[in-house]
Amino acid sequence: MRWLRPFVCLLAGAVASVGASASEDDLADAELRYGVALYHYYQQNYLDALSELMIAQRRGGISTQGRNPLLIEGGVRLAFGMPESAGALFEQVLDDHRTPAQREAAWFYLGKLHYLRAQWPEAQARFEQAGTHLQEGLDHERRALLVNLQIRAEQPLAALNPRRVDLGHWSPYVLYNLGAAEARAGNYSAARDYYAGLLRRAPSRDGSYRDEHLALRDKALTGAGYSFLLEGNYPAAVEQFQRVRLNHSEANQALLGYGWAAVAAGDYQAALRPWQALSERSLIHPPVQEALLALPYAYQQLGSHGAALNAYDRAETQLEWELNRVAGLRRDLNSALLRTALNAPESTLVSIAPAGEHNWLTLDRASVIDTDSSYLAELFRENSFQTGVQAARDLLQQRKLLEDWLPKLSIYGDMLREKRQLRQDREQQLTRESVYARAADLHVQREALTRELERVRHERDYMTFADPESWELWTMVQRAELSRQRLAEAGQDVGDAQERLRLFRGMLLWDAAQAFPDRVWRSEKTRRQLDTALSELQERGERVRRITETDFDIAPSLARLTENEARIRAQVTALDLALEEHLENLAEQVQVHLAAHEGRLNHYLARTRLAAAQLQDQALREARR
Amino acid sequence: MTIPLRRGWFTQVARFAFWAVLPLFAFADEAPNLANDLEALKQETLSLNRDLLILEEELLYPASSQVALYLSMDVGEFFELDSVRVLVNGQMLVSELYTAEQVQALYRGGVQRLYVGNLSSGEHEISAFFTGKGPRDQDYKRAAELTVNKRQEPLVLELRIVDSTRTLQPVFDIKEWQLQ
Repeated sequence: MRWLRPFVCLLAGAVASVGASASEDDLADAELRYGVALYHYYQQNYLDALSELMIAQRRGGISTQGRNPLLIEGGVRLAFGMPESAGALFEQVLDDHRTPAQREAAWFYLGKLHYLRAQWPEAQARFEQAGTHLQEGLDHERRALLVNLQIRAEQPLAALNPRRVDLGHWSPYVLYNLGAAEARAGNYSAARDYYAGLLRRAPSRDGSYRDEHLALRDKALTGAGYSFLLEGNYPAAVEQFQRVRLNHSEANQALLGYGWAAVAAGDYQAALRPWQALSERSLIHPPVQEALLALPYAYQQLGSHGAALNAYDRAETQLEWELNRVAGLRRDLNSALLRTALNAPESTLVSIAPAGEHNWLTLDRASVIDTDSSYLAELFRENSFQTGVQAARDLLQQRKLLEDWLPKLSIYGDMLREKRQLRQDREQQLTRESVYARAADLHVQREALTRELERVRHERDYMTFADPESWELWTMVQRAELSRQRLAEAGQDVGDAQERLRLFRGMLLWDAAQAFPDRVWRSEKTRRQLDTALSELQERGERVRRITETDFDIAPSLARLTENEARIRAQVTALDLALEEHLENLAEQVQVHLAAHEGRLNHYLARTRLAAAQLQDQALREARR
Repeated sequence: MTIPLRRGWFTQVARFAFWAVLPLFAFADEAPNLANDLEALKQETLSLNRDLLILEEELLYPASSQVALYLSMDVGEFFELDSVRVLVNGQMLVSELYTAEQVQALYRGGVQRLYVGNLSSGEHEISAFFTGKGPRDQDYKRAAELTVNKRQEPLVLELRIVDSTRTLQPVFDIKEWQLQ
């Protein structure tokens, strides 16, 4: 369904332009992820876009105010080849209170889903629900598909004026399809009107559309040529065939038609030139195979039996050679080769062919799988084949995505185990440093100092903070006072000593009182330092506690890694099984298709041999006469 | 006389010429069960991928140190973005050159996740430099700055380029999101 993907981009314009106008302050992680999903979506990175949306849902969902997460997710899923879930989301949009533009976009995509499943009436009914409020690009596509449905149903075609068919870049397709439908019905004149409508249109300036438009012009010219041929208007047919670009694939069909128009007009000489040119081209194109037999026929009509016989011989050689090529291709083109081709990076063009030969398979951004072999082109154009190839590529992409996770999970596992070891080592180190015991000691010291400071302040005990010398003098004064008391009790006269002791005590207290604020401040400082040391220890302890606690998170994370690794392996196995089945199926389709071509080549070869034999018989008979 | 090709042959060729484009409007005819199986496989892969992305983010960028930078633009009438450079405290954090595809995605409302990583707690100065083409196709270089305080919750910043219809100039700023 890869061919569908570029068209789905149109959805963006219909539903996502409001993304930027979201209100601001209530946006959260999930809302930003919505914007990121759009960013991936607009660049056609559907897997990344879906992953972002799914994570946003896991993180609380996306508010619908001014946004269309369901419609966007539906569009991304449709583009990513998940039509079932896309359809379910579009249905939800219809059930909800949405704007008419959003509802009509949902109707349109539901119609497209039914169209893809070949459910024509359902598709038509849904397409007809949309239209008034649909974005212009989507409406063009809707109308183009409705015309297609009409053609498919073989309903009488509404007479569309080719000059008034304006469906943007869908117009050339619609005009060509209408022309081809009329031609199939035998209405050649009406068919040519549509072809002419296509030819009047200037090719788009957009590179990809331009190439397609020019290819359609060639097809329209070829179609118009054959319609004239069928009506017997040979000069007009030749004129149309001559306008087809010679260096493009449609030229083969036109050259063949040119020759037949000349033959039909009785001008065998004129038929030689296009058929000779055609017979020089690669035999992998059916018109070239036809030309191999048509050319000797023209020679015969001109009476050049020798040239005709040579041409039959040449055709026989070429057909035999081509049969060998097809047999070689059938031998080589198996599921393993398909897998190699599909596994190549999407951006590169992959050729699978011996050097100098035609490429049997090519991959590029324009198509899921392509070929320059007309044998395979018909098969490759079939949607079932393209869908099968896209499914196989999707399976390979999923496989790669998951396999890329495995080495990362292994690294994360090592990282977690290393982290756990580091934490254990640090905890042991902290234990060794007796951090906890040191903290308890400091706490006791700090409490004692606080109590002492309180007491000193309360009792104004200046001498507590006295320097050692003053403290020694204070002790001496205290001792002298005791001696004085004992002498006084013994009845001795100590009046003079008492006075001197009072003076000394007073001097010492005076000095201590002077120094007291400074010493209290110093003690406070010490206490603050103890507080800081305790705080640091507490912080370290807290860190240890956190480490110990978070260490418990490592085990669940490791368990999640292990669980996801097992899920990956199981999913890769499931993907491999599906992939193998798909590739076998595709290879079988290729084989069946090639076998049919082989049969056709054999048929041509038999006809060539028969015609050559008949010609030789005729020549012999004439010689005997 | 031998006639190697059957009569009416070109009628068949003509019919071939009248089919060709319709397959461009291809119709899917894959077996429904097979398609459903494939979709179920895809869904499982997507769910697994989502779980792995969440786990990876939790392991590599824990909330306490996570920083995420986003870039958004509005219409882009006055500025055509070429590149962005983001510095944290004068040190280069991330730089990006933009392709036309990326710029288009931004114009249309997409938001680019420019960077996810880790940042220590505390104050940091974020500087962003934008270069491109300004009004009248002139080379344009502007900067925006913001001082942020990284706390325990993830730090989410959005670099915004907005057209100012008042000044007809682009406006650049950095917004810090408060995650709920």
